[in-house]
Amino acid sequence: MVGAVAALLAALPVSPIERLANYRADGPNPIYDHPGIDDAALRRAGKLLPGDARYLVVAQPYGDVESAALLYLDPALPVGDPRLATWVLSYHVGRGLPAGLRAVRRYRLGDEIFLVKVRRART
Amino acid sequence: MSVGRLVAGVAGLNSVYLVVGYCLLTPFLRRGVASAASYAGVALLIGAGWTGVLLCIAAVAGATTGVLTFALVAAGVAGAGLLSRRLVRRPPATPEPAARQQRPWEDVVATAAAAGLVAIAGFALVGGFRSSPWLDDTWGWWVPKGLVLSSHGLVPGLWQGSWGFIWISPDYPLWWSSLSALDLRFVGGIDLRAIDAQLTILVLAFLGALARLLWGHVRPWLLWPGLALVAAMPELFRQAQGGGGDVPLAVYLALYCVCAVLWLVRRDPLVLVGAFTFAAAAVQIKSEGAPQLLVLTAVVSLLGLRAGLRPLLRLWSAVPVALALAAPWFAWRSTHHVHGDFALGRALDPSYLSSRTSRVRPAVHALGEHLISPRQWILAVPLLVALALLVALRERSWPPLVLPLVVAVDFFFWVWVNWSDPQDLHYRLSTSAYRVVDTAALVSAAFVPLVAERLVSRAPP
Repeated sequence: MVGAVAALLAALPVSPIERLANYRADGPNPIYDHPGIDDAALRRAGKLLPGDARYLVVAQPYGDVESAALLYLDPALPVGDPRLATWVLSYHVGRGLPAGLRAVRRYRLGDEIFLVKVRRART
Repeated sequence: MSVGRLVAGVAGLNSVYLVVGYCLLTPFLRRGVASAASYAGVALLIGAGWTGVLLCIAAVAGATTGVLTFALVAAGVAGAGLLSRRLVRRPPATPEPAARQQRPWEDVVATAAAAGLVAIAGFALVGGFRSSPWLDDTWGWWVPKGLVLSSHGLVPGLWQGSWGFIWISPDYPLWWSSLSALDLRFVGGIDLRAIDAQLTILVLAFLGALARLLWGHVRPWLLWPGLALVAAMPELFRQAQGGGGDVPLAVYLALYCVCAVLWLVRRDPLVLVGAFTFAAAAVQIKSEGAPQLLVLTAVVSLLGLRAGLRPLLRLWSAVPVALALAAPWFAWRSTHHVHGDFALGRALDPSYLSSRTSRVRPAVHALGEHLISPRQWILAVPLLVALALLVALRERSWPPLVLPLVVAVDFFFWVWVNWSDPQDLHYRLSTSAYRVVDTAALVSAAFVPLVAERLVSRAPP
């Protein structure tokens, strides 16, 4: 009985069933608000970043990249204050760093996407 | 990230919830595999509820909420459940109602509805494992908060903003964040389909729990179509695929209401334990859980006026204990000056409220539109109101009207929240109105079979 009902429902070209079973399956990644976010590059950043790092995100678009960083860069911790950052995730904002920081090592993750180990610049 | 690991991880975690729940239910279960199996939905939600509540307390106490802490908490709760079987006097089992002779058409209706329900559940489960959350709040802060809790515990700098970074909604309790991060730990990586799968399983457990709790109180040809109605509400599984905390909050609050009503009407000790557990979990899911619990309890208590003071006192004593379990989180928030946008003092200030009455009408309109939309929650609320009115007229008494009153009061609670909230009203309504009505919708849908049973029942009121 259940099989018959299920087969009947599945055969119906109705959108509620398509939506319910999500006929066009999603992958494991976030559904970004902006198309074209390089998810693989952000996942790579997570593999390179040490667990005890404190990272700053400078990105365009900011929201998507910051949220993905919160997922992929765990167990490193996010900071918003550049003075507390030991690493910077730079996404589509050029090679520059926030004022007061200098690059110690730079990993290129993708097109204009960098993971940068940083130190505070001498003033 | 393979589908096999996804399914195995989520199934493994939920198996632990299930075992923990069954251990806690031990004193109440009857003999027989089929009877015990019928409690699976209740057991899963009780297991997830208690492990989550205790993980929140552990986090405030300074522990991380990773797999090790989870294993210790789960083992402790399960052990306590098994021990309670020896220590607690076994309450008399509520007798299963005698099977009533079913007419053939009643059998057909019940069987067809049950088959439809199982088919919808199957599609939803598949869909859950094939969906990544569409709500960016889910992967933007619900899950990341849990990952930090799992790796480091509560890091005050991230909740206070002193590192130049602050979570969205830092005041929210930690239950859903902790559980969603556990799913990712069990899956072994960042696979966000695990979050939707977990929420879908919680919703399916909700349907199973409703079936179990209402079984015997509602005849099958009303019960199964009633549950099929809940499962068919498009917004329920759509939001489960969004991944946010509103659906679990609504699930636990709706079950709390059902258990509270059944306790006041039937006095089954199991449902009192259920009411306590579901209340304790609801309070730890979102900040709105505690005030809604108080409001819902106040209205449901009207049913107790005829039940006598004793059952009411027992229900009322369960609620403060459930709230007290969240006290460590409230205390931590206060100590670390963590707060959200909503301020209770301001929300109760008559001069402040009178200066912004223009917000009331749009809030009523937006919330009401979502709640009674057939495309979202079918017609659960109008159906409940109509059925309750019919019963009240037939019996010439007011208690049947208490159930729609519960829904109405929850609705106006949200009108008041939107009225008093400092955020831009248009932004607030467009981003949250569709999901804050979840509790009112699920409570309505859960009450429909009970009221329908009363309507067709020939028993004297």
